[in-house]
Amino acid sequence: MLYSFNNFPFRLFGDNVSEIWTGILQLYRDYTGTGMLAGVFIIAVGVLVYLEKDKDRRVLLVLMPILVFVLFLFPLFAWAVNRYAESEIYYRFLWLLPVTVVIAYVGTKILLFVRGWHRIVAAILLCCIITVCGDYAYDNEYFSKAENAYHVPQVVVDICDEIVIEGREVRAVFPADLVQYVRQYSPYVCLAFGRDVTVDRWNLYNDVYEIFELGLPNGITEAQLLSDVCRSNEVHYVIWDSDREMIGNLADFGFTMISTVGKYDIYIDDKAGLR
Amino acid sequence: MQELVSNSFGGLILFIWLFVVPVLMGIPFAGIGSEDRKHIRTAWICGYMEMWAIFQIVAMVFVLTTREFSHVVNTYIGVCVLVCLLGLFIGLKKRRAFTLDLRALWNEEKERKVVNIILWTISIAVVLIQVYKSITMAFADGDDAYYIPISASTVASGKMYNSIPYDGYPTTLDMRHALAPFPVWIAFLSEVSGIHSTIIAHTILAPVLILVTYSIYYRMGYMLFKKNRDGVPIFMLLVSVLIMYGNYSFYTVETFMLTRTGQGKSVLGNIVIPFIMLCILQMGQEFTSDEILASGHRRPSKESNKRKILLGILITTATVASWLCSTMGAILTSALVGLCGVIIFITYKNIKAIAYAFACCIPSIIFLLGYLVIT
Repeated sequence: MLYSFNNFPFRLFGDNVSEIWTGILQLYRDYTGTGMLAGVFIIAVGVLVYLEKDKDRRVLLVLMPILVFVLFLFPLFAWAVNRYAESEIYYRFLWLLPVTVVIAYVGTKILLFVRGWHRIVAAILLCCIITVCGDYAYDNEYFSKAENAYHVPQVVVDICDEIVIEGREVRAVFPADLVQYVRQYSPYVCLAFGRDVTVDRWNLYNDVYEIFELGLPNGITEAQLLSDVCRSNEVHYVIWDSDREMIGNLADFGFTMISTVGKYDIYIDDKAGLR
Repeated sequence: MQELVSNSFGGLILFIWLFVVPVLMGIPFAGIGSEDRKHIRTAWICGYMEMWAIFQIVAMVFVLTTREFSHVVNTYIGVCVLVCLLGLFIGLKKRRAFTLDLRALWNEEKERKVVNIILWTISIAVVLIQVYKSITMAFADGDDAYYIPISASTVASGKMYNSIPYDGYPTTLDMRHALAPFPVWIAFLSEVSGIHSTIIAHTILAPVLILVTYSIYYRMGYMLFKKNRDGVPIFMLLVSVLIMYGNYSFYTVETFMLTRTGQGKSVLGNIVIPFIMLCILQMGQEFTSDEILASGHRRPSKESNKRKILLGILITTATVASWLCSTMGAILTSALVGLCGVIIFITYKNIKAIAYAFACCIPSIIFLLGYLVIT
């Protein structure tokens, strides 16, 4: 079975050659960020084109990057890869460019011209240039100090320990900012909605999420609606962020607060028959 | 950390599976890229490729049939023991080739030696910072919400890919992810050690995989600067800094290496692909050496043929290992090896290179065709 250019759902790449090409360039721009290290890499390959004489090294450090890059920009190749995988991950083809190896190789070649103690100074200088062109990985906003060996927030560990019942699975609804960690810690805790529902661009509908997270049009959750939707989805526990406002009280609709961990109140459905 | 400290037996088992087993498995390939000696470190990195390739085949068979995790665990242990015994046998037979010539290290010029020691110290310090950060810093990555629960629920239920990792609802087999079962390998480590798979993925595997990556780069530096060893510490220093400052976008391999170390796609980009690049350096040497080109490719020596066969097995093994990491691994590694063959053919008129590269890619081509048929 062959897919035609016009029928295949390209999403990021669009439906014709020019749109595919625009998509490819967009991926390249996103991949290279500021473009400074990409620029250094292109210069380094350029230097090696003229100066590298060893045949085996020319294969990996000169000819391979050029061919990989040409292939990456080739729309028909992008189309063919897209037949097999998602267009969003086409950028991984750029992983075949030996960026680190080429830059380090050329840098080392240059530094080998410097003798004695000056070599250390020159090496540090070159490292400083790299730090200016690149970006420090641990500045990333998603990094934080690990709270435990699991690398999940301790509050999730404590809540899961509180609600897990030996010998069976339980289902719970957690605040959206915690859902991605819950099943990493305990596979015995199933969720009313997972991380996939919280990703806007995936556009997945989940009735518990709609009522628990989004609430009424004013953004406030109503206890009765929440208790009804939880019960119809066989959710045994509700983990409620006490900083959030709720109309009514879950206790009035058959849920009992059994514990509080940090700012989270843990409610159990009395009708679930777990306790 | 308490679980780690208290489970010292599990720690020992993990040490065996992450250090001893790969070394034993990799012994037949310990001389790759080195004409004179065999290296334990080379055996270690080659052993990982074998370990992953074997796991991919075993897991794929059972994912498509019984989906019983215990079948994977028992079969994998059996196969690994056999391959380790083979490696041990070869290692004992050729143990003299592993001898370290320490005297050569002291025969260098004094000032040069001090300069190299300082450069080595700085580069090792940069690597150790990354290792330390991988243990003490947590990265909030959404994809972990998919991959880690696969490992955790596989250990808990004894079944593979029978629930949606995000929420735990039952599901049918998701072929795209099931054919790249890196999380199941983590589940295997968890099963044999008794340590929680999340701890393994985030706290134990991350530093080990970082060290595997640097071992590959060290080997590469060693091959690139074998005529002037002074280049190796500089090369390693620049590589380690480039990796630490490689977060210039969300998509770079360096970002993946330091933020999502325990995920299959990071392993693909930072271990399997660099490893194949290392093999390509060696492949380039085998097919473009002046001696071979001068003879019109007609009379490669017996030794050269033996090296090519070993290298071919290793490249094929690495391409199979790439399937474990990501379904895109088969495309990327085949493209890398295939392009190398095409380049050597076009540039140095060696048609054998293209046939050699194609032969190495045959399993991946079959895998890709099978994947397209199944999905």
